[in-house]
Amino acid sequence: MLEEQEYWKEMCQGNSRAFEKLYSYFAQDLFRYGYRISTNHELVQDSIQDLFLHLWNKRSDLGSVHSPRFYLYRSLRNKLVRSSESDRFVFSMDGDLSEQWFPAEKDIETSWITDEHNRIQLALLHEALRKLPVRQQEVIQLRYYHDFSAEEVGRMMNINQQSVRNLQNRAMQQLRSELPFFTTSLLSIVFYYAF
Amino acid sequence: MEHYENFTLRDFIHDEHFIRWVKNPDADSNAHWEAVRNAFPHQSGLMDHAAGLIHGFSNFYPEVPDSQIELARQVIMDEVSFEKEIPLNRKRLYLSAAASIAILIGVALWFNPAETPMHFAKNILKTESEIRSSNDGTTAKTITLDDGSSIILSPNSTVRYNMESADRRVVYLDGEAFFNVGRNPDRPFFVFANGLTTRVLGTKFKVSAYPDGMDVKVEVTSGSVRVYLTENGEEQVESEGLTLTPNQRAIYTKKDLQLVRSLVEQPKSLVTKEQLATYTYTDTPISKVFDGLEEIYGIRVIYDQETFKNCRLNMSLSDESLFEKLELIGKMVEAQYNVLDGEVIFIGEGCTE
Repeated sequence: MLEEQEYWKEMCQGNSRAFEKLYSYFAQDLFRYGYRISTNHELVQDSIQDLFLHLWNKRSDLGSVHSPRFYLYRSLRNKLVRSSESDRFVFSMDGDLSEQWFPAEKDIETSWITDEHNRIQLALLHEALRKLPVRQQEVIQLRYYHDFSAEEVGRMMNINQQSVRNLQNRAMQQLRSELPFFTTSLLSIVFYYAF
Repeated sequence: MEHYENFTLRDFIHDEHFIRWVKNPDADSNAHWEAVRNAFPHQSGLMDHAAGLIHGFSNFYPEVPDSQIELARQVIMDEVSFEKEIPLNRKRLYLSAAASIAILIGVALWFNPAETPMHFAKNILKTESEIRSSNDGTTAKTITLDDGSSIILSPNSTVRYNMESADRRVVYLDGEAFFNVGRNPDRPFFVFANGLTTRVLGTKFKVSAYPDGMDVKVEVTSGSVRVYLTENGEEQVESEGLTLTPNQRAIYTKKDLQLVRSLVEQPKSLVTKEQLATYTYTDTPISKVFDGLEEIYGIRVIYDQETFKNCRLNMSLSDESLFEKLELIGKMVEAQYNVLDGEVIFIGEGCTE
């Protein structure tokens, strides 16, 4: 059984240690997802707190949840969308975030890119991604960072699989027009990591 | 297998098996995709390209400060442990009270680290050896410390400092000050300012941290400094901070809890006027000109050497500001520059021979 499912099961039986472990396991990624789809970081924090307190209060009813991971992401998304509608908070649908500068440099610095050429390409790729409409950014992060399938992303965002593909294709189109090296030279990144 | 023959870039990046292989390869998937590669050699380049994109995408996520995650954990776990001790009918009321107290404490610790000194600072800061100096006037005030370092304190600013400890020099700042620190590797110099710690050995730099201002700013004139966040009364690991060199600055945005490195607004020349006059180029490869800029301003220019290898310039670096010079070079070789993480990135198509 996966680690997360074990924690989940024990939480449902009232084990508060397992509950805290479940939080540690998911917190960073849930925050990263929340920050991607909402500019209101306080709201993200409140929503994650609410989400976990709700889990604990309803723990005896949650034993039948099939995928804890999907359940958590989907619940967080619903909370964020709902409160942005009711609080008239701007839920950034079309690139509000794009002007905002997240220091992705830090990722680059601390992890794997040492080669300058790759570093530049990656920085430019991420900069171009940040200019995409937020829903396209969301699909890309869910698909390639959080590892959800197209089918799961569709269920998460309440759209069908073809729409997920379309969002991705539109993103690809824009990246292609914005990055001169897009069609030719991302190769080096690959050689660096994978092979 | 056959359908891979006509796979496009899009098909590859949509393919769940392909994504899984790129992100978590194992023996089976390696064998599978190598077989595809061998069967359709014309697709091999496309596969590499798609894998490169997926890797690029898979590192795309916003930074989240650990402090936020820990703060939320505290709130959640406080409520969970509180709940056990309270009779059921009164639970809801208490729960909401507990939540707001926990949040307030967290915020107070975070935003006023100067008033809740770090643990280590508590031990070494005895009130009798701490000196406090404010500047209520309208002009800057110079304070000379025992070790020969000086602090130029801006109006409406206060410093508290302690120079007694044998192994460190410690200053707390509210407001803005320029520091000229005498070098002493055995006694590092610390400035604590509104959530941000600056650690130096010997250098000149300015810190702006007004208590009601949102951002804390550190700008370096010479030498190098290390800046990092001071969280909840604990020092954050220094290795998670940033190193700043001359003409770089760090801005700590309290709203987003983000620490970002960039360049100062007007980078200053680090060489003398006479030296500056010697940076004149005639039909010189662009790489030499960028080397010159790096020597003058201490700022690195990153560019693709291969792309720009045929670019040759006639120019002098003695007159305009750094950014004017970069504009000028950009016009000459039809390129653009960006400032990213305290470095200059130069992008363009290069020059024909």
